[in-house]
Amino acid sequence: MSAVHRTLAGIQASTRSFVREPFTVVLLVVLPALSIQIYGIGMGQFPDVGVFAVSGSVATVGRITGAVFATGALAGVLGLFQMISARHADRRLAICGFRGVELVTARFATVAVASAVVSVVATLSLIVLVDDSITAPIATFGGLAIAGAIYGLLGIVVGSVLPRELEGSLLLVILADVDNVFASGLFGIEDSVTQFAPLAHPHAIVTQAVVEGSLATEHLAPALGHLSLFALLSVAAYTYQLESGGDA
Amino acid sequence: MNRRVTTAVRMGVREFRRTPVLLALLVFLPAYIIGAFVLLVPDVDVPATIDGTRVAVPMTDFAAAFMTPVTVAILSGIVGLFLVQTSQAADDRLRLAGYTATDLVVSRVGTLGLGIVVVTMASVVVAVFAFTPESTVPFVAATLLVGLTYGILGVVVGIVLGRLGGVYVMLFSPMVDVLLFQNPLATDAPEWTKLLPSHYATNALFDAAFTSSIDVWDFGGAVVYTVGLLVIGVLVFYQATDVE
Repeated sequence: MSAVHRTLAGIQASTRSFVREPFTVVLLVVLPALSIQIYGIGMGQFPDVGVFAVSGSVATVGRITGAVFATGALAGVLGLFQMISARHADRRLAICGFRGVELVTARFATVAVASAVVSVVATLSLIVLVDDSITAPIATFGGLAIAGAIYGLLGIVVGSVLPRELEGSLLLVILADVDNVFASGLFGIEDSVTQFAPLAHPHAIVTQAVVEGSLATEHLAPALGHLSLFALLSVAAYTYQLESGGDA
Repeated sequence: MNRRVTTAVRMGVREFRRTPVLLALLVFLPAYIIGAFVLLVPDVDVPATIDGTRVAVPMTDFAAAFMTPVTVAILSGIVGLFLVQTSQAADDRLRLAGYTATDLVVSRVGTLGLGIVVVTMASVVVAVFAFTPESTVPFVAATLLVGLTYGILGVVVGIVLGRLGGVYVMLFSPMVDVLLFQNPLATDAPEWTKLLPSHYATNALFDAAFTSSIDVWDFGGAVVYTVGLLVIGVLVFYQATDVE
């Protein structure tokens, strides 16, 4: 079996194990639309009391927040469970002759594909649910895809470092929830602080794409910087858990 | 309480104790969430609806009071979800070994209750570092009710939806319910939000945080909601551990 075949077999097996739970697939498709709509209604009930650091109507920013949150959180939880459920399988595959790089590629590719699917669903949901037409759908998708990729990688990091479902889920859920509130501008926290939140820059890219119809170039580099950082961290964490026998 | 129940609860507590990372997270995460917001929000007054009246409250006090039920709901929900998930195999064996379904229900509710008390205490301690509630005991009681509500919801969701689906749902539910629809900053909350799980408990909590009066109606509603959910949770749990 060639390296390409082994990698493809790994991706296929990971995808199949996920698709075998149809309810999870349904949630992955339904939750972004639901989240966008609920956040839109939820934030629409807030008056402008001068503490929301948002551009555009609060309801629209609510929908954007729902989209970014759903994309990031879904990809993150998927990355986490991918890592936890695949630990033993990966160690056996390594014994069978799979090389570390092939296993890393297979796991990361699965999370990347799932993040891309969620981002497409979230983009389409935004196009349908936002009142005004979105003139920069590619930039919107790009921002959401970066959010999904960052959290997918964060899920891999948490799943590698803390390979237990309860503890890993607790940590990831809290990180996602707090990050989302920081990114939303709901509490008027200063940009000098929120710029370090992983979802802040993808949120800004999506907001500018939806509200102004342009690409937020000043947020692109920091967003990609976050993405690169989490890519490095996840490769290091994954390699460590593979080499240490997974008992990190 | 019979011996079987106390043994099962003791084992549950021992399992908690043997996972120091979990205990550390249950203590650290409230400090992270509540502490971060208290430190980072701007030092301004915000208009909030408390006990039906629009009043101005300092943003830091508001953040401490508001992030307490958010934190407790998230943590209790996830703990409830995984408590059942991780104990299901053991419960089936205990059932075969002679435990009645009632023994198991009481044991798991007891263990869940202890977990929620830990989460509530950790959160309240962090919150009271930042602000002093007008009525401390009702504030703690209301926080505990939010925790119980979401802990039981976590159990039900875990049994019905499984782990991955359950985590997805418990990731969104507290944010949507508590953060968006029970937010005192809102002026135009839809009527249906009164049906959401934390409505009465969070109302009671904000009253306790910012007024010296206690709204019996809100506390009563929260207790009724919690008991109703508990009945549903017990029925679902019975069904899931029915060996015969």
